[in-house]
Amino acid sequence: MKRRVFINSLGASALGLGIMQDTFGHEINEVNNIHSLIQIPGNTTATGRVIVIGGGMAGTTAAKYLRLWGGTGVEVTLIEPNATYYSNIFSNMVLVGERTLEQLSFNYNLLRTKYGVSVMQNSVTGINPIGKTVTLNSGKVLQYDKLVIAPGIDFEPIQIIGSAINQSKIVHAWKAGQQTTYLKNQIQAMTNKDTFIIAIPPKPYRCPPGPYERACIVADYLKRVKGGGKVIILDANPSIQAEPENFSNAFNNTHKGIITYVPNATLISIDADKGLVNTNIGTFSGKVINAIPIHKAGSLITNSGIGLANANNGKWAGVNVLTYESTAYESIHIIGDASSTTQPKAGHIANAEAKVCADAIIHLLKGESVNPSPITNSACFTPITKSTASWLSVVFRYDPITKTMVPTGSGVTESLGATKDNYDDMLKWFSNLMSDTFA
Amino acid sequence: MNSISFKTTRITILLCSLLAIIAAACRNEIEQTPPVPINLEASANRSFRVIINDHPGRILASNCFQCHGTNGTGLEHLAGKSANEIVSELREMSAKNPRAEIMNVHAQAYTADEIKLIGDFFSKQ
Repeated sequence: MKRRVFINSLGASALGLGIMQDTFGHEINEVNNIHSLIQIPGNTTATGRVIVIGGGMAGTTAAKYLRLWGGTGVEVTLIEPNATYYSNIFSNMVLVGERTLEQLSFNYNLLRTKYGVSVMQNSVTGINPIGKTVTLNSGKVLQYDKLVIAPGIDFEPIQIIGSAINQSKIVHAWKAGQQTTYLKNQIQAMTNKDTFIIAIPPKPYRCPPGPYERACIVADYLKRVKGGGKVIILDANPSIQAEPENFSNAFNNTHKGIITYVPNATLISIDADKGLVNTNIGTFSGKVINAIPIHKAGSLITNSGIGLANANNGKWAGVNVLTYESTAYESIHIIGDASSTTQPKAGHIANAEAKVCADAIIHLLKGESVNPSPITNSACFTPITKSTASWLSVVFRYDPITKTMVPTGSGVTESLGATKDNYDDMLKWFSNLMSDTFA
Repeated sequence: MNSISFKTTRITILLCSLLAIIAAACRNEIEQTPPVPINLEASANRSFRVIINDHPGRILASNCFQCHGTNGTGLEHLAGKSANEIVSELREMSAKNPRAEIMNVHAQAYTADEIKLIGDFFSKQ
């Protein structure tokens, strides 16, 4: 029995509450029991100062759960340069006008008021792992007992030639924000004679199904709104990296005649004046070029100066997945996309990693041993059209032999096709996930 | 979609909570606030959800929070359901095609003991 409750009128978007973000035009089938007020436990015997750097999915979840589970004896400071977080999840829908960036914006007010996290809008200029201090760009020096770093990703440069103004038209929009709006405007200016090119970097990159999802959403939009157009996917990888069956079906059937999928296409350069993408297997011409650069850990890791980027040729941070402690220094924990693990780089699992890390830090602050068998999970719903979605999910379990997180149960599993039911589930998933992170 | 049924109450609590949150949010705009205790004033006349902080199933159950809300209190909520109901539903799901329903994937990933612990955790929320 589903009861329909419309909550558009509550004005909740001003709060940055994830739970309310699904309502624009969509109805939430059931809203109840969402925000019971949670009392932070008193002294759990865990005491210490924890600094969390980075207010994305991983860092925000860690800050929240350090307080929720650690109690008032754990002083948590979250350092994040931006006042607003724009969700990457659902940001592909902004490109075709199905969401606004405003609707995907979240803030840290509830971290402060509900969980007693000290939020500092600032950036970090230095980390001293021996003295256990963090220096802010304001010059302030903060002392920590445990440090959590969650800087997300950064990009390698792409070779782009052409006039400055044309060069500036080539965006990745792979971090939601200004570039998302910029790419949206480019897509909306397309006609049914135009081609959208999306270039996918070699793995690992953030959100494995994301680029394919973007191709589908743009193809769906061009077909519905422009009456035609083309989408070319230039994939540096040898095959579709996530949901191969669902995306093959989307490319060959659902969006047949619009999407062309080209594997093994490594980006060499872009001629922004002529609208050409040069790859190792040929040159492709497009009106809108969306090139997603090769990824690396956020600059706080790769430019740390203290060797935190000690995995994968200096591009990612090596961690012990029991605690997410750096393999370079004790008491520095690195979670989310910046760390090098067997898990995907994505918001949902970053939230799970953050909980494992928070739990481990609390045990360590109590002088206890950590959970020897952590479990995490990844789940991602991907819209294929304006009203259907597929999903991908996997549960990871710690393997003491390899000391890595390995898929368990049914392993990496994709849905049987894209359905309206999945689309509805996707809206609830997003609400709960963002709420579990920011509220 | 999900065989776990919805609870159809608590709209009032939701609204009250939202008002409390709005009030709390309005009072705390200052940057660089020191660690502060939970805002008791805003929620003085509400019943608290006191978490069972040391429940041994907490970290396991936290894998459910992304899709069911913190402590199972979100949409598709689990908080307050009986342990038996959760356990038997998960058992049922674990016998089904994992590709048919995302919950089947998750039900198949946990041992019987883990599922019991998860059920017990949510029954006590």
